[in-house]
Amino acid sequence: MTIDKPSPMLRQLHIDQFARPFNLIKALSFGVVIVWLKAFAGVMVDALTGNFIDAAYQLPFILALGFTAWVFWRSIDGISAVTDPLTRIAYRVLGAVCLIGTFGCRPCDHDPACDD
Amino acid sequence: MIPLVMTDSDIGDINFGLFGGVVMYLLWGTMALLAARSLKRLHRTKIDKIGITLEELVRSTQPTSAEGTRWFTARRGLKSPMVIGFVVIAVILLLSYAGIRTYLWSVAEEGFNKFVQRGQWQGQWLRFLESGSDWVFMGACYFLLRARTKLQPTAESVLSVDRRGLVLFLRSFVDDERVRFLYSQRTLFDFSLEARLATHFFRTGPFIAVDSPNHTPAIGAARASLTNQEWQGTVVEWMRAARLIVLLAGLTQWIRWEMRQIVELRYSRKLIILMPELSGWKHRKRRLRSDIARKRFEVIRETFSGSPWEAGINEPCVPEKIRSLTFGPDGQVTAVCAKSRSRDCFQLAVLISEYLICKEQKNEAAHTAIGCHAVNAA
Repeated sequence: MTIDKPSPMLRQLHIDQFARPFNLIKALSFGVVIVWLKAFAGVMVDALTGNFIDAAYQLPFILALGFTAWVFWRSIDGISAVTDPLTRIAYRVLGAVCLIGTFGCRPCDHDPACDD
Repeated sequence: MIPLVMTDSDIGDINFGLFGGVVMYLLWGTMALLAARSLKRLHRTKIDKIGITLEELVRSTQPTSAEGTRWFTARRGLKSPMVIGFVVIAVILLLSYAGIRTYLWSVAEEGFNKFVQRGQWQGQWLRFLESGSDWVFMGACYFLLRARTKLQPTAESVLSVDRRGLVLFLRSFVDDERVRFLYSQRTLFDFSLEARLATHFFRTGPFIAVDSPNHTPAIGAARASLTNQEWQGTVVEWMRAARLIVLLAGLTQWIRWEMRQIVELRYSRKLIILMPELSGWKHRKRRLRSDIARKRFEVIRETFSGSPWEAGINEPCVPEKIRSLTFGPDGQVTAVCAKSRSRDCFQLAVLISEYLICKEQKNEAAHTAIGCHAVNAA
């Protein structure tokens, strides 16, 4: 049975207080990068298949999310996120995108019947 | 308004699509809020017994700019036809993925249930397409990873350009992370602990390692291909010249030999022993996890027996919690410990160890300077 007690010859530094914040930051960074890749691919297809209006409509969101994804990609690990000065701005941009998205979702956006 | 993510809910009822969109935005917003709070906490929290914040720690270990090393690694590799080939395949796969998802999206607008009702074959075809698109995306990630491995510089090219103090990375070849198709989506942006260490150490100088005999494609330290006759001599020479030696604790014969060399040649004061992170199924088996940690720690104890650090390393501790070890003056051993087995904890442990070693080296340099002044004055 081993024990974890302080000793003068073996100094133990515990870093568990950092583990949970790191996990959360990493999960969000990874998720946003993947989401942006998929969303960007969608816009590209829209543009290439002649659906320019949809593509243009989505462009501001893709750009805003693209900036966030780029910052998160640079600092995909928690440690880089702490030192990167753009991280805070990226969080604000993501928050704004989510806020606009939440309040901007209207039935007409998804309902083809609204076109009539 | 566009949905933030095209999920399975896209292929469903229209009302559910609207509800799913709102929920998705709310979910992402909540996550962003929580992550922002975590970031604030990370900015404030001080490291145990050192008394500095994470930001101060990182800044203190990166005195030089990264720009001197990054440009040449990318520029050389981008000319390679193999890299271009892999990138082209990845782009084609990404576009195919986007095409499939757009088609599925258009079907969802039409009403998936109606479409399925038209015939069993069409329903199966859609399901096949949906699962197939995930494989296509995984393929794109895999080829991007392969392209990235080809961008790796060799140790020779790095050492010929960069004259700063090198950081030597020693490990058993069996612990090397491999490029795997099934994990490619997960590993595209965060390949391995070694890759993270490479990003960090390349900012302060060359980060080099010996290439495995079968030249496994890897992302991380700049590899040197050495013959059986020359590798031991070269490694010992690198140990002497190194600013830091990062050793991934292992069980094999040659990692023991390398550790013994470090102890015998008195390079222990610039050594960071890193316990390897366990990937895949090994990570989930608790008994196996503790066995692996204990066995590796036993090897370290054996190697350091008879050295000034023998007493410190033999103190009771929990090997599964140890993330890194450093060897200070007067036989003191510092272990960075964590319950969490996340990659960030291993990386942070290395940064803390590096900080401690650099601090000691600076203190010693200051003492030597004071000593020299005193001798001169006398």
